[in-house]
Amino acid sequence: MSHTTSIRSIKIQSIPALEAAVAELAGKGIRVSLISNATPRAYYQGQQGMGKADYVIQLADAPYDVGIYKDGENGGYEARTDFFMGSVEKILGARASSQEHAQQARMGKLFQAYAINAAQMEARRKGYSTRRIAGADGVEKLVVTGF
Amino acid sequence: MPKQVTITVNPDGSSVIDAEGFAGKGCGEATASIELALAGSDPDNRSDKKKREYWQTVGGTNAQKA
Repeated sequence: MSHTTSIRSIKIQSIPALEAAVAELAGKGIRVSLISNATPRAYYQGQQGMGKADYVIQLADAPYDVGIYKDGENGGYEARTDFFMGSVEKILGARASSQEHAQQARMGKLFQAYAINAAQMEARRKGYSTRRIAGADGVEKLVVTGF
Repeated sequence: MPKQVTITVNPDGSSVIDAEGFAGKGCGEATASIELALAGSDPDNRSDKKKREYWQTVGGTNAQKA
């Protein structure tokens, strides 16, 4: 064995991985779709921070959507939504494994699906073999070999 | 043990990347691009725990921590 790396928060950077994540959530019965160059629904029309987004994850069973905005400061994208009344969390949320991950857990299903697809795409791009394993308690594992 | 990297992603998105079977710093090269794909370029967004084998050279002799 060699080393273990813990990722504090998932950074959305790959749109193909985001597309795969949304498709995967849809496959699990969540009524969700991804569109580009649109304004996500929020409590207020023209709500601050929720203007036109590069991508929008539409949630058919919630009054609000998730906007995916370019992060000009740190690169990649950031996911923003309106958590009012917990409707988005009800669909995308998961139990936080620690206080450190509490914020990310509010859209945990999205970040989990994104992370496993982003890791798989990157590993395959490097020419490695991958195998996905659905673990207990909703944990997803990706085993990468062929080094 | 064959070289293998396991990425574990919890339902809240928290993730752990575990490299096994590597000698020396080869594991870092193997996982770097996956770490970057998940965490971005901010080094504060990840934490590493080196295992004993990390400090071994391919020949099996212990190297001093740099």
